[in-house]
Amino acid sequence: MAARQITTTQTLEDFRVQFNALSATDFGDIATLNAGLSATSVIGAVNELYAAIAGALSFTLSDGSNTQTLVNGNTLLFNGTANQITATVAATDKVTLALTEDVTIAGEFTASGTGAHTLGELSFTASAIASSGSTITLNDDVTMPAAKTLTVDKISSNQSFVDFGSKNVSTDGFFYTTKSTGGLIFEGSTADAHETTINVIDPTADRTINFPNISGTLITTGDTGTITGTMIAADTIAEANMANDAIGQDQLKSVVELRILDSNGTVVKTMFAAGA
Amino acid sequence: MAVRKPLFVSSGNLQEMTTAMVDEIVDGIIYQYSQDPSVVLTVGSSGNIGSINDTRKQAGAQSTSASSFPSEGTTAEPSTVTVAYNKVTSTATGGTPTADGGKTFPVYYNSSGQIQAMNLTDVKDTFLHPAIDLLQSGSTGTQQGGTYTVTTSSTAASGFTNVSTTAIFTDTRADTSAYAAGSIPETQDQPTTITNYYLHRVNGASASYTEPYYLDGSNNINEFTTANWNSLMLGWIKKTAAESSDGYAISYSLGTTATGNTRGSGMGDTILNGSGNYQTRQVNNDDYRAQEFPNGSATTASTYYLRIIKS
Repeated sequence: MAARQITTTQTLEDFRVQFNALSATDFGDIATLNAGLSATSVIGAVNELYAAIAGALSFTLSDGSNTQTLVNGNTLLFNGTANQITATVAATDKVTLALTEDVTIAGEFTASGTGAHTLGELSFTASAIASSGSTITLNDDVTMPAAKTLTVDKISSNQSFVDFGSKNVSTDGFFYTTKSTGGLIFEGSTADAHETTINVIDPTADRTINFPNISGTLITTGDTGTITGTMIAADTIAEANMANDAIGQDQLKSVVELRILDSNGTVVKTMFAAGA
Repeated sequence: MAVRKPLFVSSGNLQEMTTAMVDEIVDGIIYQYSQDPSVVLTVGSSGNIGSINDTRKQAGAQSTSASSFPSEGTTAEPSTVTVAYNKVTSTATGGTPTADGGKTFPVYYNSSGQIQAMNLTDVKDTFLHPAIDLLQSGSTGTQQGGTYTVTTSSTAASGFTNVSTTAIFTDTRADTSAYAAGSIPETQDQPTTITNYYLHRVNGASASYTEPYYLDGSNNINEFTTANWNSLMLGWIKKTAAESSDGYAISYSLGTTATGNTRGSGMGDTILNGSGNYQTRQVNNDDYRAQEFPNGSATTASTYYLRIIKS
């Protein structure tokens, strides 16, 4: 909008047009003046504004529950809070708010973005990490300092087993498996398709199987020719433990023969017995 | 001679029987024989073990004369009547006992200490022949069960069974009291029975014994059942008694002399030894009669025996 001027050569009509435009467009319709202004003229309104600006015109700052009124001449201070946010005022009219390097949030922290949240070391003063989803995914190795306790009720794995690497698994309690066919599986020295599984036949009562306090190799029912005489306690082989038709003359001490002959003197049976 | 000692189980051990135990088995075999003897004597009209004679005197025939009594010298002397007795028949039936199949008879420890089954010779020497020896003895106790003897009783005494009420021999003599001069001519032969002799079988007695052991079909050592053992031994003792070819067959004879052992009463054939009792009778004046009746003392003409023979 340029300043309206009536040259000397212009007509009165020109003047009327310019004047009307000046009144309607440049000065504006008085009827549209804010209802808060009571003045009925431009000057009056200017004066009223002046009076308000120079006098009692103020701003009210509010955080929803607390209010603070700023009046002309007051300074709006962007102070921030230690360990939370900092404010930086810069020319010409910029205020920059930033989180401090170390942020302390008294309440909850929500980062709802689905992108990656890059964090340094996390320290928790409370005791829980929760997720609104079903799974918290830690996308890197997790290390706990020595002597720290990882308390979990369930451990799962993306593979068919939980890999403890070369570390020992220790417990002061028991190892349980509830799967009917579950047990201990040993891969052995060769990682291949062959493993050794230790499992149990479904117990119908509490059972306790003790491993003896001695080094050695366990014997199974599938073994053949393994048990040696030194493993058998003396005087413990009962009759019921002996197979029928199993004892030969070679097993008898100081063997003696008893032959049975028919009336023709033909030997029909020979019996062997331990000698005196 | 191979007398064996059969084995039995004592406290779970196979042990040789003692001689006394073997004797008990022999007694048991005799008892089985007594129940079913193989040499059987019967009494009938005709026998086969010997004929024995009963002799007696009978009066001589009368002599007559019309004028005077015939003299003693012309009157016939008493004569001898002989009645033969041949009523006892012997029947021997050996049967077919179980043959030695190698494991038929009891087992014993042989000289090498091994267990061996007896053969038939062993069984004979150990059981059968001793049993025959006892059966054939002159005694008439239970160890002679199934053999025979003679008594004068028509009924069986304790320990015997009467074979028949028919006497196998009757000793008769002339009945001197039956002859009377007033009855001349007397019937010449008027005998009286002195003694009847009857045949009896000796009863056996059940004997307890220990059953020996034998080899069964699987060559295991088993105890004979009583029934099997009795049956086996009965077959063989009957065979031996009836048909032994090695001197142990039993037979009987009747006679005065023979081998073997006598059984029971000797059967005496007695006869009066007088030379004749001359008697006369005058019936009327022309009828004079004389006759010599038997007289004298009874003497034994012969003594017959039932003998049991082992041959």
